[in-house]
Amino acid sequence: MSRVLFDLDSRHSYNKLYPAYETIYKTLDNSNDAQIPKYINSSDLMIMKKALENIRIITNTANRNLVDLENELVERAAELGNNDAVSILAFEAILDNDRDSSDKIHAKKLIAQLLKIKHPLTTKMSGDLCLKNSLSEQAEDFYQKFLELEKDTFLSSEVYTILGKLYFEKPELIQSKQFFTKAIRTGPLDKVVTAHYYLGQIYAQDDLLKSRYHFELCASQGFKESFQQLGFMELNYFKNVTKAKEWFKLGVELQDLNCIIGLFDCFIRLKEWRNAYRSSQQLEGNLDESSLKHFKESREKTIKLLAENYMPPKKQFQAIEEYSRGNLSKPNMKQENDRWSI
Amino acid sequence: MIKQFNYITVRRFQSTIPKVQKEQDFEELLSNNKKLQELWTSPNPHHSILEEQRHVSINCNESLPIILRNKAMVFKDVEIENPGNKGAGLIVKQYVEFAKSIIKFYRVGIQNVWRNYKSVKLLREKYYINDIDSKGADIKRRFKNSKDIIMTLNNYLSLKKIEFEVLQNAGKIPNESIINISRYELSLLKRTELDYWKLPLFSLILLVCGELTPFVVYVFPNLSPSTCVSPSILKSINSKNNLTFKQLRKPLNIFELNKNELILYNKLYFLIPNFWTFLPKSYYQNNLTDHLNYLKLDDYYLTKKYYNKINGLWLLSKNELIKSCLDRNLIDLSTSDITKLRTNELRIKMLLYLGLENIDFEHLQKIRQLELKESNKLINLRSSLVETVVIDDDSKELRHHHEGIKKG
Repeated sequence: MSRVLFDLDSRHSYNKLYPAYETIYKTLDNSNDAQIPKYINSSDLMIMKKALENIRIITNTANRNLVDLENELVERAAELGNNDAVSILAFEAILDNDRDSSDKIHAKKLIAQLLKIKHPLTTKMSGDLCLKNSLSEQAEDFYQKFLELEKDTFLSSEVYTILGKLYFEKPELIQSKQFFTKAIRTGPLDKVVTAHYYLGQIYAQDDLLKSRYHFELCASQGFKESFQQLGFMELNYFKNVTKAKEWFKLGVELQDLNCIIGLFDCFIRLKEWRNAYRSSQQLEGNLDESSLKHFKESREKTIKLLAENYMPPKKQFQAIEEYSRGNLSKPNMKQENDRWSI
Repeated sequence: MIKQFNYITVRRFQSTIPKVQKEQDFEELLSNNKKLQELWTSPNPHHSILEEQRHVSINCNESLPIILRNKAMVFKDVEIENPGNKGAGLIVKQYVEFAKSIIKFYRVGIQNVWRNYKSVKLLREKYYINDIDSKGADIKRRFKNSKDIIMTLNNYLSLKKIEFEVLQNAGKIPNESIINISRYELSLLKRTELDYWKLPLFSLILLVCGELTPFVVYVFPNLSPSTCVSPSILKSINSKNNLTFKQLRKPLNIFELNKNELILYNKLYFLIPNFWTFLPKSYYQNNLTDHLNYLKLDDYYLTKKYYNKINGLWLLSKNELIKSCLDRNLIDLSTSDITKLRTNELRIKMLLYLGLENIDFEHLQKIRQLELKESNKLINLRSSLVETVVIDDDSKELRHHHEGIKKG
């Protein structure tokens, strides 16, 4: 917790903030107003909220009471006149369908006032709202305005990533590359994973070493899609099959089906027939019809090769039985099947 | 959605080389290959506006050697200039003139390196790269070296290419990519970078050895800067490697090659001296990657259209043609004499290299062995199609260089 607070540039230590957390938490159930210590102002309350939020994201667990506490903290901050808190609450009111129309009108008024004084968070959130309603041009305008106000904060790195994606879709790849690079330079690694992934895609065209670097950074944060990219890159371009296998294995652990296909290719290259057979079985169980068909068509030769070199135990027994009856010729036994010593 | 990852395709075994014996075959090839067709139908440059336009945009003759006449040519020239002299007097005069011409060759070369160095300095102030600093702010930074600028430009071009394709498929009109720096400036930068460090030692050799410099350079060919490479030195660098060229049959994927193959490739492209075999594998890999990147960019410059819609290829001077053929390993130095190669021959070699998209080793070998007859046939065919007549401008080249020397 202390570390999270330090990262957020908190004025107070955890020991000083704890009483505030405690008093607000205790008043959650009853309607009494909590007595917040005097040395804590509205921005401190917001930092306390962000700290809780960060811990929620890091641990990937959400405690209902703590989420309530977060909401309460925002409301308290808004009461004390914190603009960030006000804009968060206003946007919540607009997006919530259950709210009254009078509430929404008031929220809109508040947002208009905040936009007038060029409040950064409000500008960014208006951009988000526009993007949600697929008004990408207006969203871009809002984001550009936000970047004029804030250039090198965590929030701006988020905005750079969104702008990068917008330009990537246009496509204006050179601009989008610039935005993603800016996002990486301004934000911490765990928040800019998508930017790294897109940069990996952009560099994949001519500078594979750089592309690999970006994908590896994604993989270090457990970004699912990056594993198959890294695997196929190592397999097909850098010709390092064992390394590719390791990447695919990691991907399989995150249940990425493409990684199983990659793993199948690796096993075939390494001539580990039994493992290859297993992964092909795994694919048959998991892939839908069309992609299974595509898999079988694209890897016709390798599947044939596998059938020549490996026979699953069930079929072996059948073959042996039929051989003993004298119906068939000697069963196809190679390498691994030698253990039957027939 | 996010685009699927595309692998860079290495030049594969797909293309077909034209059979020049039959004109129809070649025409069929042209109709199938758009890129080749575009290069082929480009108009010829008009001679009257040629020199200046050529100089500004494409050719960088300053960074290449001036033409060195061989012994027989010098002797003949002296004989013509002094019709009265005969016997021992004439022979002495001939030898003196020959020594002078060698000294002049090296002197002009060294002077050019120094001049180039100065103009590169100006270039460094002229261009910058848009970059982002560690805090995420936009900056304009100076480029570090030619590798830096080549990487940036290649990246820019490949991204533009994707944009172009996507927009074209969507039925929109895409913008053409614009590169500010010209081929002339880029090649000046790239060649002078190495030459500058060779200059002190080479000038010392020239001072000490004088007319004997060719012999010293023959033993250590990589000492001479690019402006002082005589044809005989080229042969001495390359003679051993050509035997091994025939053994290399694999397609060129850098990460697939072992160290020995990498070293061979490096030698073939004149990237390292012959004895330079003791460095780690990654050095050779990087060297080769950089060179291939440069070739990619250079190919772009040569297929690009300049004034009057003429492709860069047809604007190259003979000196540049030799250099670009050598860069791409299109001349078999063990069998052909570089002094006897004609402009047409070289140009057709380059045309085939640039036009055929997937060139493999066998085809490269065929381009290398392309004969003058065949290339002349092709050129004649072209001149019947394209309005202006192509003149084999070897004689003009010679004159041009002599004028250059006088000016210098």
